Amino acid sequence: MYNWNWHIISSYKIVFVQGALVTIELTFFAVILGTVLGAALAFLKKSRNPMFSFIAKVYIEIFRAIPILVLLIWIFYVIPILFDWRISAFVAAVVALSMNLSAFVAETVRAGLESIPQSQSESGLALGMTSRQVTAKIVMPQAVRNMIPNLMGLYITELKNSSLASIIAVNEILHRSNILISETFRPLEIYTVVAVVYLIIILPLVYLSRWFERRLAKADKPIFGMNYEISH
Amino acid sequence: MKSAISIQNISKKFGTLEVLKNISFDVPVGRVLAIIGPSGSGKTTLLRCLNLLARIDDGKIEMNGFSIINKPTNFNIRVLREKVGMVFQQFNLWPHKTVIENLIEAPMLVRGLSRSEATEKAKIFLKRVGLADKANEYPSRLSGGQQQRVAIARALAMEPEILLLDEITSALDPELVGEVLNVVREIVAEHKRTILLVTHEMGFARDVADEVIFMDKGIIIEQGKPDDLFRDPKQERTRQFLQRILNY
Ligand SMILES: Nc1ncnc2c1ncn2[C@@H]1O[C@H](COP(=O)(O)OP(=O)(O)OP(=O)(O)O)[C@@H](O)[C@H]1O
Ligand SMILES: [Mg+2]
Repeated sequence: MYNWNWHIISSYKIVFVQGALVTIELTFFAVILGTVLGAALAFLKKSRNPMFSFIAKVYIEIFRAIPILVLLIWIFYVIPILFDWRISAFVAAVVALSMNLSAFVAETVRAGLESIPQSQSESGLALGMTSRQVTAKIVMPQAVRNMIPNLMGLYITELKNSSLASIIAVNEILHRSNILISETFRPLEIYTVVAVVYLIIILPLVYLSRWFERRLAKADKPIFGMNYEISH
Repeated sequence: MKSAISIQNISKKFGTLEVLKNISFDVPVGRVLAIIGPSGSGKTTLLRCLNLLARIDDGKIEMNGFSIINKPTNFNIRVLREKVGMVFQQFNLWPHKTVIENLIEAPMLVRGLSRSEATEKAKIFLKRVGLADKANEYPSRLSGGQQQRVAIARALAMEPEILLLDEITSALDPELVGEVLNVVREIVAEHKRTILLVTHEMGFARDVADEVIFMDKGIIIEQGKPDDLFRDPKQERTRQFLQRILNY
């Protein structure tokens, strides 16, 4: 029977806390960047300019296909050699994670935009609004509601994916734990704590996203088009 | 008499399907033109061409002396649409906005009214369609008839000179048709706007229209005063259509 030693964990508590903070920070930047980039790609793909839409299409195909780990290593090791341009491991991780995320966000945003019937835009255009105004005031607010469940899922996955950054020595929780193991030789305790920390961060997000979904499902305002009945 | 809408030989194709073939007509300022015809005859397409939601392939449209050929600029399109209101068969209200927000959006964005100015005006139009008490409801809380009246108020809030009404009662339960038609009757009675309406309500068309056009397969088959066209159609096809729809 393995002899657990939990004492060691409490003396290194701070390592886990700091690691978790870096994990959250990394995910945060990747999510922000990935979402902005992804939304831009979705609009680029819809663009009437065939060049723009082609570039967006190719980007999305490529970054959905490349494994994050490969992308991470490539950005961290290959770019510095090719361009003689040093980037920190943290920045490399943010870039790799957000590039990957953006490809998936782009598809989610596209699907969300397409979920709003054309007739919604047309009633805006018919009143003299520009297509930009129609997108901003009519289509996007409704489309975002439809995107939220999917986006939340992507963000939660992104948080899990951030552990891959340990491979290029970003100081997130998994990497710090690996170092700690080499000093303390207590892998079972330490990996158990890592798993628990991930659970503590992710479970509230999962519940939050379910709450969102439920709220959207029973909202006053129908998610698609019009509801011709009076609901009581 | 001055024309609000003047259409000369317009045609429109979807792929190889000719939906409008060489259509011409005039609507004098302040008059009401009703368009009737079987499903698929191109009535909706015609209205959509008038506010440039669809592009004509050939011909010329003049609205308020403003001429449209088949390649208008974005700016010209918006100038035109500001003056031309449209109400759709399926209402097309914005479900994420309250009734009053549906009404003030375009006046604020397009005409540059402040929120309070736009809201004041919107309330007047809501009252005119009998829905002053629904200002803060979401559209999904309203009946179909109420939604359509909101859609009419939304179009009126831009104070258009021309109104295009596309079968605005077709999606409604029969008992809700009357309330919407009454609102249109009141607008007609003001004699302020030129109105082009597509309808299956023959009695209504006969009442409010100054002129009626019967269309079939993209062609104007017959045009005349409502009393003449409904009582004594000159064309066999018009006669058949009216017989079918009145016996329905
Ligand atoms: N965007 C489009 N692309 C291709 N075909 C179209 C399009 N819009 C309309 N059509 C076709 O054009 C023809 C005329 O359609 P339109 O909607 O103008 O008829 P309508 O007279 O309004 O009929 P209804 O009384 O059923 O509303 C139909 O055959 C229709 O299928
Ligand atoms: Mg139609």
